[in-house]
Amino acid sequence: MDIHQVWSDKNNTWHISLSGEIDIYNAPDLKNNLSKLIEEKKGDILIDCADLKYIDSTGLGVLISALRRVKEYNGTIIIKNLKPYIYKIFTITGLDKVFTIEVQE
Amino acid sequence: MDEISIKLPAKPEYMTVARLTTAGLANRLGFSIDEIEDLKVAVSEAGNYLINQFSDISVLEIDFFIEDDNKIRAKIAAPAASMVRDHEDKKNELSLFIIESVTDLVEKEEEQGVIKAFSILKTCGGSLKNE
Repeated sequence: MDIHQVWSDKNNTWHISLSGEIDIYNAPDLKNNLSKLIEEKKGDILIDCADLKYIDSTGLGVLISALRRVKEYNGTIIIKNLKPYIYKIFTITGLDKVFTIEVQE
Repeated sequence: MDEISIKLPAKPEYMTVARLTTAGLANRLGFSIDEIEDLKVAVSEAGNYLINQFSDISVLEIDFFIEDDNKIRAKIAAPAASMVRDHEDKKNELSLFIIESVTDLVEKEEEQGVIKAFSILKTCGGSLKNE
């Protein structure tokens, strides 16, 4: 898993791109990373998943916990470019209704 | 019926090996990309479930049974584990829900209400649920 993040003052948003696989092994790294970003600047979070190949329930748990923290200051998390087979996991778990999601064409 | 078995250290870093093996077998049988992903997800979540559940888990055994050239039955087990953690319920509910949603059939081997193994069936070319 690789994470790249850029802060945008213009729209008060963290632009994050995730690539590779997020699973029970590296989900704690993602959690720490998102926590640091939220502590640093309380903005919205836009996660680009164009190169994300896999996410498991542990990774979903990290995203849910980040959303909870972001909602405390009325922020949002937008997930874009999800591959259809990963989006399926979001729909199965009902998370498609919790996050704002754009699926990759 | 062909049988393929792998035995992995029950450590998070090895779950990627379980997924790669699953994908390789499903691909060989001609599963579609979506079916391969479903089986990968199910096997990986079953491993997550057992790793999260047992504090003394050291080995994860995964046995794949190829049935009728179009079905894979995967058994994921933690045979030697017995000490159950008491704070992982929520995480595991999500795993269980995902496993049941992406497979055709899931059987759980339980001892005193504790799941010790999963047997997962995935069919190539269609879900048994729709038959």
